[in-house]
Amino acid sequence: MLNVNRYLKYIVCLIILMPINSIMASDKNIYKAGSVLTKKGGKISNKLLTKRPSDKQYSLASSTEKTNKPILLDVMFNSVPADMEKRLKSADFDVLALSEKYKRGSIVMGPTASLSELATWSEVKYINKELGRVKKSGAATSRAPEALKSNLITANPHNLSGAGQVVGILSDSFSHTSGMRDADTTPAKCIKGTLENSKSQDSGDLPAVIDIRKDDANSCSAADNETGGSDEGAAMAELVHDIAPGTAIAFSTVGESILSFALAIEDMCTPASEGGAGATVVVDDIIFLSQLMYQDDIVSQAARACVESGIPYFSAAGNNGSDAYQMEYNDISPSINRSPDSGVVSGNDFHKWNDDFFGQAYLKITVPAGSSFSAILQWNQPALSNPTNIVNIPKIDLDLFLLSNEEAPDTNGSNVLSIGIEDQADLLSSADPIESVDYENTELFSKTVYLAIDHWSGNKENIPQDDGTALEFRLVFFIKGQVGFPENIKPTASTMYGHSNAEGIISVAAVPWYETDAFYKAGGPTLEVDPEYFTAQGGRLNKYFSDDGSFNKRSVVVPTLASVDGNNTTFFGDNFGGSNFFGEDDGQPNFFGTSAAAPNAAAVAALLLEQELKTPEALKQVLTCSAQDVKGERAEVGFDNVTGVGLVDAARALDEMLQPSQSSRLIPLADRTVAARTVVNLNLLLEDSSRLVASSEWQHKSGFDITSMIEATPSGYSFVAPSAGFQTQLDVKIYDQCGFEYTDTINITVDGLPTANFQVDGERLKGETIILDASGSSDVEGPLTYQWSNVAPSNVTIENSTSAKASFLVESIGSHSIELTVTDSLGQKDSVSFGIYIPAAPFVAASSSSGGGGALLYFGVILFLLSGMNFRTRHKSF
Amino acid sequence: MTRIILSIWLIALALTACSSTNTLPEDTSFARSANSDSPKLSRALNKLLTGEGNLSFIQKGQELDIVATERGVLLDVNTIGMNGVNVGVVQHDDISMIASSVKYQRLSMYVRSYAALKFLIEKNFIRQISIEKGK
Repeated sequence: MLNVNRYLKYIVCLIILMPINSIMASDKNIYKAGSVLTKKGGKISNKLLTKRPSDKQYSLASSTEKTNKPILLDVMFNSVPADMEKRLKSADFDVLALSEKYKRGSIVMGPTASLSELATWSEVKYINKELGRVKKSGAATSRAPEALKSNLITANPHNLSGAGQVVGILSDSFSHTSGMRDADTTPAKCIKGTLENSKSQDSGDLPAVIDIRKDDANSCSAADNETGGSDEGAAMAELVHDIAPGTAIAFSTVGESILSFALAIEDMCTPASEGGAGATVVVDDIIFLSQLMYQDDIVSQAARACVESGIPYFSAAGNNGSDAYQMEYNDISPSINRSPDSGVVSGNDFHKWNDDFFGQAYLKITVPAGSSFSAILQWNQPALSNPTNIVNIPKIDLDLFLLSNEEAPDTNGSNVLSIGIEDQADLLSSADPIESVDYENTELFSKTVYLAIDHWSGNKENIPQDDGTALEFRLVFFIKGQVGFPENIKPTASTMYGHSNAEGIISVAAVPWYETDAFYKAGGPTLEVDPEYFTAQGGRLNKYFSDDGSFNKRSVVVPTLASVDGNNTTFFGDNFGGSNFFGEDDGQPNFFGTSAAAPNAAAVAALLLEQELKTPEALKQVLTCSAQDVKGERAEVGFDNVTGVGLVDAARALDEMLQPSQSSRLIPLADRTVAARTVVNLNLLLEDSSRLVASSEWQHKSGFDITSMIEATPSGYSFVAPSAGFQTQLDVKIYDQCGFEYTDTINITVDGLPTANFQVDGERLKGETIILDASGSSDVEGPLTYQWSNVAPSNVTIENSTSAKASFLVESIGSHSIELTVTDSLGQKDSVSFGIYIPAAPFVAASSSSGGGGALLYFGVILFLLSGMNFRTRHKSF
Repeated sequence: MTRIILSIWLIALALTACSSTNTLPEDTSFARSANSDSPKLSRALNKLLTGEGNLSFIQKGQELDIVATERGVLLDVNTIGMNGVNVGVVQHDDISMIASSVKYQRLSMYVRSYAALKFLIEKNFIRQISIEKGK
């Protein structure tokens, strides 16, 4: 039977839709399924249309409407007359390609172009959306796109590929090895130019052309037999290409010196129109050991200038974990100073490594056979090597010794294994405040060596440039193999220095791809997302000097964020994984390290910049605001010193770019009264609990200054309250991961301790009741609770044992001991105990606070003393 | 008992003090000589210069555990007031310039002979010369 009602509905719908169709078709930006543009069988692909939930109609994909991106069309024609190109252009279509032979056109819609109008042309057969290109399945497929969720923004509807961007890579070399080069690779090894036909390009793992700016480090001298670079730059490029296949790539070796590195950065960041590489994003994975810790060196200055010119700069955080010390110099024999003219290193001015009674002047280091290390010492003095520093010479000279025993260097230096004794202070030709030692254990067995830092000249406590700043040093180890440090003096400081700490640079930590949510995050030391064990520890690091060497204390918080490492390349690294571990072991080498994490983050930046050009600062904000917190081994909840604000999330970053987050609100810190010598937690929480607090500054406002006592904790900050009676007022300024600033003020009072006291009344005879009265106990700030207890004998029952007034019945003769404990509202306690002796003969004892009289009292006292009991004892606890 | 503990503590104190650096007599200690040959040179380079006449520059460098190849020793040279003309002056048969920058007042070069090193020291605009520490 016919369903008449249903047909009636169709008719009604058609009547309603027809006028709407005509309206929609007249709008150049809105299209629907209708008579010309039918959903099925029409000329326009559904890929160009999307259904709007609100109006049930079809329109251009919302993302393209939102961003006004040009839309690339793939048009099939019935015929292509000679004037077709002209007609298309006059209709505001940009013609990229048009073929009569293939009856096909590749055209871009201009702002006034009408798709519906084009569809009415008789020559037009069908209009499709150009789906973009993907590289042929390269030999190596990275899992970074899934781990960083960049696959969500390279797919429809966003279709980002990094087009129009140039990622500039700075590393050791690009095409030196047989992993990259084959017979038809051009140009020749070490020669700059356009790289083509390398193995990775042939396999689709790199773009067909790459701008090689400079690739002549190390192996390019015929005089040497050096093996050359490892082509790490090409491995970094493969990672970039996996995430952003549409981005162009430029490469320059950093060369062999700190100067060549700075010049390479300049070239990379110079526009192509001025002869430079014209990079729009720069990434590097190099640090020169002589870069500076307490001041921006020339590489940092070049990177900073790159950012200031509008180019975001990513730098690998480093792979040295926390193999470093950061300490204030602490003279082991403060009263014994080397005479300035003696020229003798006696050990009396060595740094004391710990606060043991005698101190420890030597850092004991165990080096297994085959292992080696370099140690770089720097202290907070200016460097004359900075070009604008003409007169600010370093005024303190520290030296570094590596010794074979725990003795100061002997007369002929026979126990000296390595030495760093450059002249720093008061010389216009001064060396920079850097000393280094190196050691390699070439023996068959483990060796123990001893490191000492000697103060040679200049102030010992505060630096001469600022009375309030202590002499501080950082000692960073670069270890090959393994090295053991003393258990009581473990290295726990930041290993990050140089340009990764420069202002505006995005420093990148490493998290293995398989630890991310997209894969098997439970595989590491914890069930959460664990960063690489080696990824460099950062933190809040102080810099003390401007480029010209003048005193200028400020701090930088590093690393900025984390990205993934351990992804496949065609030739670089070792194969990784067991059977059936997300496709690993797949026979392809895996590239681990922050060197591998940084290019993945840079590639995500290229995708985002294709979407919308941003200043480096704005791009950094987008990335940090959208990052996913990393909580695992070494990575605390919230911002931490190992992974910064967390893991790059490309999908969230794009959302953040399209719809920026708003400021949240700091939950006010309540004023509080705290107990003395207890840990006080100051948890900084935002109303938007998903937003991390990225950094904070505490400032003393009034009262007792505790700012130097405040330490970061996983959930905020804490300090140990000083003695009772102190009061302090603090201002706090914090920045969340999106860069929003919040401020608050808090008052903290340290409560006084309670005092327990009681009186004893009653006749001290068997069968009598003894009255205990604790009303004399006191506490300044608040009410007390009471607890009476009998210590001996055990069979005494105290009535009202939790009241201020209590009592007990004397049931036996001999020694009795009663204890009172009072507790204040903060849990602080005070106890007092009292001993009485119940004689066989009657006597009257004095109360605890007042004396009695009479012969019986003296008799009682004598008996009491004979009993050997303590009369009254007091102890406090916290 | 207290006396025994005190005695042990005093003995320990004495033993530790004797072996401690705190009281090491200076006449048995290492003397850090003045870097007098040329204050422009780092210690290692001054030491390298002392080999002149006995060993070749490269041989002496290798003896001192300095990275010295046939190209020479890679130097990091800090300058003051260097201009483009000055850079041109730094030409020597045994010097291979890797990079130079007036902006950064810095030179990076391989040096292959004692004569070349002395040649550098004589330049007024050169402030400090050290061995490139590497990357």
